[in-house]
Amino acid sequence: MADLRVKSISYKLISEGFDIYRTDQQNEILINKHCCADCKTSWNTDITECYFCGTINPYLYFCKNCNIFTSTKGGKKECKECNTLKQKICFNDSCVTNSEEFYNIFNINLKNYEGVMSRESPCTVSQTYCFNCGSTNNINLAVIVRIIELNFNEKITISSEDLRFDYIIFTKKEKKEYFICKPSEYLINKKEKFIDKLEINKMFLDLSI
Amino acid sequence: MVDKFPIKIFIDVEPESFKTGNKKHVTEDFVAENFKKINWNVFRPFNDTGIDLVITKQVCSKDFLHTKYNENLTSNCEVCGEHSITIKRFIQVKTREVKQNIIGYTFSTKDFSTDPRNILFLYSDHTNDFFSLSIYDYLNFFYENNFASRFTLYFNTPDDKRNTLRMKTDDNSWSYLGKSWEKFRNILGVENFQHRDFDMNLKEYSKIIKNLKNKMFYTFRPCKPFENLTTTQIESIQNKINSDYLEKDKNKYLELVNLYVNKMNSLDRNIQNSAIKYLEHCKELYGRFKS
Repeated sequence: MADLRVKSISYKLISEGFDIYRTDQQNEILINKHCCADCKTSWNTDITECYFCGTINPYLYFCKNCNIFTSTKGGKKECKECNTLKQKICFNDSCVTNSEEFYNIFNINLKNYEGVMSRESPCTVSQTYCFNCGSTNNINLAVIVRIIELNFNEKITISSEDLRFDYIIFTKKEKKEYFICKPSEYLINKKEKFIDKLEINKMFLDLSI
Repeated sequence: MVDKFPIKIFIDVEPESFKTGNKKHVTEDFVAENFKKINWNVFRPFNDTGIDLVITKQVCSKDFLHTKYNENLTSNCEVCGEHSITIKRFIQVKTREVKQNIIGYTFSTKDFSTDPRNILFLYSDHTNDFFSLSIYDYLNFFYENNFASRFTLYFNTPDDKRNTLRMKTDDNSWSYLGKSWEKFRNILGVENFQHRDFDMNLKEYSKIIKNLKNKMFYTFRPCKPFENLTTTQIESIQNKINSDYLEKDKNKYLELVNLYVNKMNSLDRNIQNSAIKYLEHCKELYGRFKS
């Protein structure tokens, strides 16, 4: 089994948002998807929310004087219209940090950061609810997979050792053709169908939590 | 079968030879090799992820206590004959040097997933000790011992550094603010996270963890930059947190997403584009913008 093909498939999966883990065994990988426990939509811990109200970080500057949002990329920290310092505020108008009483406390009076949603602020938290269904529970969905590259005309065989894998991905040498199966199911029905797509998401949708 | 854990697996080099800048790889490898020695299958990240290793093993499906910490079933359970199941643990390693008998460490909010199988793992390299706590046990430890106040609004700030895991030199025991951490140490720590029903009851534990997080993270006790807030102001902010976040249900959270998307869609196209670049990897959300 060419390690290169395992790497190639691993990179393909990474490009689709999965995390890949490898063992000492060349053709064995663990595919992990950090996702919502209810609808299995991806969970992104790099995205932050407002600690106070849960609104997603807009990653923008705001000038209170001019009441406008601007990009955080490339521009100055001062508003080009009124020259006052811009802030990274919560996007939710009714958030407590945007109220008259607290706006300055959370966004302006602090020396070390540029507002409640700035990277250095202690008031942002990593994603806490699913952006697709609203659930607050997230888990790792992980499957242990063996990858087998078949030579021209080589037939599928599954050994008793293969039964410990959740899935096996068969692929053909130098071809983008894949057949994914649960080893125990294949031993019973012996049905195989190679397609030109690596349908990993389908594999995860089939998993019960 | 190995009956000591951890062992000094790299016999040619001392942990002191590595400093903060170059110890990450060797220490994670040290942890990985030690888990292999006690018969866990170890998976290392191929891409940059928040998890340093995933470990799996086969255990008895009827009673977890039937499988020892250093045993991996290759067939049915030797005690009861039941079939085996695979359990998985997701480990995040933090290696710290003991200074004046104390280990300091920092976690951020992204470290607190609601998956009970996530293990917060501290490696004291100079004393050769592992401390492993599932997210559930970690939060529960703070909650049950009334240390919840240590969790509020301190994330991402230097104040969050926890400097209270302490070794007593007279009896070689470890404690956190006087409460023993011995059950999370070395072999006991592994047994504690192996002999659990986390894998079978993921969703239930996930909900419990979320409740613990809500109780501890969202009690507003302001840190340094906000220490001048009055008691009345703190109460007022807490009431808003309760109504705007804690008392929300699924639908209310989805309203927040809609608010975000609608407001973003109302902005100038160039500004919107610069903002949503941060969401490119979040396909479901990214797909909702007009750009």
